[in-house]
Amino acid sequence: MTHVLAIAQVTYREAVRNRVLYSLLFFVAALILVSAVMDHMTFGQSGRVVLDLGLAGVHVCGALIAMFLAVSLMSREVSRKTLHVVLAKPVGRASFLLGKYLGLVGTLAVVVGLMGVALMGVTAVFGQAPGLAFIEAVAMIWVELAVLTAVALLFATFTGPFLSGMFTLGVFVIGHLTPGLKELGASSGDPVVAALTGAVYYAMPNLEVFNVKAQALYGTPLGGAETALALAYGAACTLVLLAAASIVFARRDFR
Amino acid sequence: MSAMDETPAIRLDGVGKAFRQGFWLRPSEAIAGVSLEVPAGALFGYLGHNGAGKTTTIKMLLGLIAPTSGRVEVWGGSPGDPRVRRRVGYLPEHPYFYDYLTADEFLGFHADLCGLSGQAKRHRVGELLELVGLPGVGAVALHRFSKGMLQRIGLAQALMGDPDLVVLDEPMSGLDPVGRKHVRDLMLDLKRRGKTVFFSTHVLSDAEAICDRVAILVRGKVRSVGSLADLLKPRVTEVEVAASGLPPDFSAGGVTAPREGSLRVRVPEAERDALVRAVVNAGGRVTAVTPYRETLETLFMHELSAVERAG
Repeated sequence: MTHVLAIAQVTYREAVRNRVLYSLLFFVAALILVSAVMDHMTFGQSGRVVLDLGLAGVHVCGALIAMFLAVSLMSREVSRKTLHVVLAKPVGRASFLLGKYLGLVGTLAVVVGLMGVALMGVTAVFGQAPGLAFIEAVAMIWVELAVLTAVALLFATFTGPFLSGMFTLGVFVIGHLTPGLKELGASSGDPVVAALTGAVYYAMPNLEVFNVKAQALYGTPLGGAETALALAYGAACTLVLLAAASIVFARRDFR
Repeated sequence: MSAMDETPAIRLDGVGKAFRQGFWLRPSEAIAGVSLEVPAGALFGYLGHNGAGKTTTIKMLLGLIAPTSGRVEVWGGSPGDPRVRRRVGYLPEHPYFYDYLTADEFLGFHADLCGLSGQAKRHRVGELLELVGLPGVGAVALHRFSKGMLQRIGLAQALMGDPDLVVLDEPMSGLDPVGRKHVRDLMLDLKRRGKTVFFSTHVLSDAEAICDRVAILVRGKVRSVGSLADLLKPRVTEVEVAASGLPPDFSAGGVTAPREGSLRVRVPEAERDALVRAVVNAGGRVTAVTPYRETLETLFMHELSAVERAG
């Protein structure tokens, strides 16, 4: 476990020193700008609109950062051969992958947490005091990013940075559409279409499970059982993805 | 000597590796049928031209590449086993490290990977910076390091776990003469301390200066393997004869026309006595007879041209 934590720490340092946190400044600046505009365009609802847009911003910015970090850091490890001296030490390949994953997820916790705090501050200025449901929504965004990071790591173990990025982006988009696709297939009346959309639904992670932004808007937190179910689903997806990544990674030659 | 010590540090038995390349993923052989044994405590040079397959072999010793045929053993076990790699240190050919880390952070990270912690970790980091000639740079980020400094910090991480086997891929690459000597001395010191050193190089003078055993790899195949004495001794076949005071019409065994009565010629050792007698009989004076041992370079070129002749 010492190896895993050491690799996680180095990954976190790399991400932070790569100035990824600078993207937060962009997020905060955009948030304040959009909020100021919304304040003029809406009447009496500006706090809620800012919260709605802000949460969407945390989600999209977080997803882009997660994909960029996971794909670029992993690809750099392979292309610059920095992982060779690490894997030549008494470190298992699965430990290396797990350490990378934990380092990335830790970085994302800081990034999402800081974005959440910034959003909280801005919405408070506009008269919307976010409560438990808001914290829950931000936490669920982080859980989704943790699943997305595992997806990106899986692709990065066997393809280059461009394809890994594209595939992960594809999973992110489809992951939010699968419930709708499944319903569409079921209502089409065509058994082939229904089977296809059903297959996509079960093959892809259903990222809508983690979308509780609407509850945050109305200040209604999820129930304990629902939260536990979402967390268990996220953990199961992550475990399957990391296990698959470990299998691919273990068989790979590092030239 | 324990049973463990009698186990060869490295044993390669008919090892081959083919990489799949191109659109159709056709296999391309990097090395084939490589067999050699490196005894514990040896300073072993793995020699070959660029692209001969040295790095491929080394990566197999570290479990970074799996062989497509044959068997690779390090200390009697599989290099894929982390317990085996606990006894191995590795310096890659063009070391790229996490350059956003400082030297202290970088070595501290490798100390963590080697299971060191607390006081032992701090002590080892300082000791290794001193050993590789980089004292006082602990707080400097690696992206500020020169190529030579990176090579040295790479050596430090390779030695972090006090490994019994140190595998160095072109360790003198990018170093100035002082750095090269430092690395050579370091390798000799490791050998004196009972460690096994396996290093690759295409600079034959480096190997000739310090190795006790070598293997010569040509186009992915081991052509010669053994101690330098065994490989070079039987091939001492030429002598250089220098003479003066010879008549202009001097001729012996195809050696003719000495300039201004002096001669300096290299002949097969078997013809040495006849030439010396002819010089004396012609009234000349033999000023020097210098035997020519075959150098590693001539042996290497001999092996290379043999492979080229065979097509």
